[in-house]
Amino acid sequence: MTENAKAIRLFFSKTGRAKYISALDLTNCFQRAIRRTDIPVWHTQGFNPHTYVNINLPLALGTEGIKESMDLKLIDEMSYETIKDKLNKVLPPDIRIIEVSDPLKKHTEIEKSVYDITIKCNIEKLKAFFELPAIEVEKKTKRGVSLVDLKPHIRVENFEGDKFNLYLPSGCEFTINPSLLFDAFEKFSEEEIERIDIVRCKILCKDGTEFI
Amino acid sequence: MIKEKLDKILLKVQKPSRYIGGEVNSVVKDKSKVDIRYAFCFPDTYDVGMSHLGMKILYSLKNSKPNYWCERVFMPLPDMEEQMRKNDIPLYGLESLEPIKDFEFIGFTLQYELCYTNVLSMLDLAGLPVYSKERTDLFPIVMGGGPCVCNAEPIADFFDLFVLGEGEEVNLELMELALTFKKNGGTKQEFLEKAAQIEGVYVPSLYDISYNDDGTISAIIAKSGAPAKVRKRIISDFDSVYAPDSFVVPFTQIVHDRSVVEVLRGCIRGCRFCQAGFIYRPFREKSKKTIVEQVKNLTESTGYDEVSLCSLSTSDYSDIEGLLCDITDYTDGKGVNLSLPSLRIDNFSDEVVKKIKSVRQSGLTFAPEAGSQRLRDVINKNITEDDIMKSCKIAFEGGYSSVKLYFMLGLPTETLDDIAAIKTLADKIVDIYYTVERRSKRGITISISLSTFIPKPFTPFEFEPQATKEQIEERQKYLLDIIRSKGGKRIDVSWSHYETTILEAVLARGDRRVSAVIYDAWKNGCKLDGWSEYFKPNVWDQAFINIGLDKAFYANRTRSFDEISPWDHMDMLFTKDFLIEENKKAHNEKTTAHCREKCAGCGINKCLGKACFKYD
Repeated sequence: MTENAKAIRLFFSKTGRAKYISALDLTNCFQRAIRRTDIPVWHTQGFNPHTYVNINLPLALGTEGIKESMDLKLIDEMSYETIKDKLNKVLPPDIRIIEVSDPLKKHTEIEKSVYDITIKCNIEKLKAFFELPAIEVEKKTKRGVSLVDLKPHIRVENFEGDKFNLYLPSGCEFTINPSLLFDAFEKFSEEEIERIDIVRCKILCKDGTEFI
Repeated sequence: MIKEKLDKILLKVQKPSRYIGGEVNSVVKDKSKVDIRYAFCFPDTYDVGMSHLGMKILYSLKNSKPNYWCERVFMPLPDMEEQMRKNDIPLYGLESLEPIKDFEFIGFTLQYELCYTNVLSMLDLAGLPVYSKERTDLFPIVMGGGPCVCNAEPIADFFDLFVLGEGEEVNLELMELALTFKKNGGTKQEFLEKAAQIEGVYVPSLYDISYNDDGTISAIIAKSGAPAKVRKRIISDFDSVYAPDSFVVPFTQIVHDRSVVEVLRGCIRGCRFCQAGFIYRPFREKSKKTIVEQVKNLTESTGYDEVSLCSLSTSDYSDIEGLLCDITDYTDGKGVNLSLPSLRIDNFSDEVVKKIKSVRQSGLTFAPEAGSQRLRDVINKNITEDDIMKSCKIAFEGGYSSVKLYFMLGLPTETLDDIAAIKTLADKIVDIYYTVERRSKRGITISISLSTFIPKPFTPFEFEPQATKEQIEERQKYLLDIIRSKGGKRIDVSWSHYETTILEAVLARGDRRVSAVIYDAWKNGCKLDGWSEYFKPNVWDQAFINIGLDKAFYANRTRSFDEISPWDHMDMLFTKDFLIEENKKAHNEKTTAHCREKCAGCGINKCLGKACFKYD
């Protein structure tokens, strides 16, 4: 009874140990968490019904996120505050629901991710890397491996000490995984990055506003 | 510290979430409020170990005490081990991410013999010497439990102590003893001598073993007040034994990704090859009420959509129909699947069969173990051809079209006629299939899985030789030839590799001298021997040569009834005379009735102080 089910959007953080949970395992983890509660969720119909959960823009393995989102459907009334509290009681400590709301934008509108990067490496070399006229890498797509120039797609802002913001394309049409860029940097600098923390802090839509 | 190092390496290994903890229901405590820390080690990978019920029970039990903290530790796969060694990361507990060498206890559960080199790898990764005598500090105490302890001699040199039998009570008693030593001080030797006084605790260094010229054992002498025979521990009030009301729920998919509820312990069947059927005696059940309660609790705390009942033979639960009705009353309403591994359906009412059928099932599996009725009588496997045909018919009517059959090769008294009977049995199942009118539209497929019989301690076959490589290969070939010559298209055959099974045979019935072989093999690169992709039979062979021991002496030799076995100082609470009687009956092709029908007189009832069953 999809017509009676109401879509809602959950915003959550996925930090610390939880950054090693893959996208598929995260879906599983949410489905189990929901089953530990009495939240009246919609199940897919068919021979093997399961709890409907859709993660809007899965994070790359090893990346933290402070405002990720997923959609599910309710078949009965329950307040957003109650849903948040119930889930936070049963989720692993490093996954927290921050907010529950009506879905205002379609996930197809997503265009960019904004990351907070903290890095321990040769910063001068990193800056030189970002100044290169072109950053060509091999990117795996469904059609095979192709050569892509990352340079026109990346934006670096607020570089201070070992921290900066990185804007990368994300979405249904074109996505660049941060690791693609930093692997290219390691090749360029011929040194291993000593330590890097990548936190996605924002997801932006085509019109430049935040995905909500 | 370790967390930071892990962040550097985890993206370089497969499935990193199994090395970082943080799962739902994992127990994290404030270590300043904890007195005793216990590293529960499963000497195989996370995916295998996290499926093991015994670990979940003992983990929750220890953590139910506020001042004890038990953490989980698994064997890292080679990609992770390499990264750990390269980056100086010692083996750590998944809850605290702290090195286990600083814990009071390091406890291994020993479920199968081929994990022994993993124990050495894990001790070494922890930064500890693998030999017990080289670990002179009081803590950590390295202990072992699980079925392999009924003959722990091949690994005796690596452990400080073992727990024989059921661990629920004795684990806590050992931790209590450690607490008094922590407060009052004492040496490791003093601790071990005290521990040896606890029923069910075996301290191998307190026993001297001497040998005859022919390599057999001449005497086992206990010293420092240790008991001459170590008595197995059992839980007599099984219905109220501790059972966890929550499981750690892994992020990554594991072998058995579901809740598991234990319904009974022990087995009434007495199949003569089956070690579990003897060492877990006596037979005890939980009440229906307790089981349903545990199904509910686990479903609610884990969010799993599947629950499975666990025992050696769930069909032998005294009111199995009633139990299944009570459980499905709950699970059906919740959309939870009930999975019933190894359940016999031949004598169920139609109503119950319907109930089970509404449950998702993977396939139809039988373990006749031997092809002919004669050989099934020898091994006391009381499943008849009639039972198999009846169950198949019920299942085929329900839409099944594939059957898996398990057999063993190399059973005592086996002849080529017994092997040919395997093919005859498969043919009869095919015939039955085509007599069922409501059968599936697909053609039938039968998979035959052949393992090699391994004589195990504390079974009536502990005296028997294992068949040699030549004998097994001859019998495999014979069976394959007759299957391929006629009507073999619907029959798939798979078999186990002899190198693995003979090693398991040696480790199962080996003596203390075998420790040196295990050490040598491990030193030269053997680990994860249960995984065919990592198993190195040539290195093992070389280790036997280096140490000067003969595999055939342990595996392929008939042992006389009066020979002192390496495990003679273990008391499993049934008598050796009973095993000898059963061995003689096997050679006379005589069966023994199951325990509920008639007491076979094994002697286990003495530990209960009453008969195991009410007989009319």
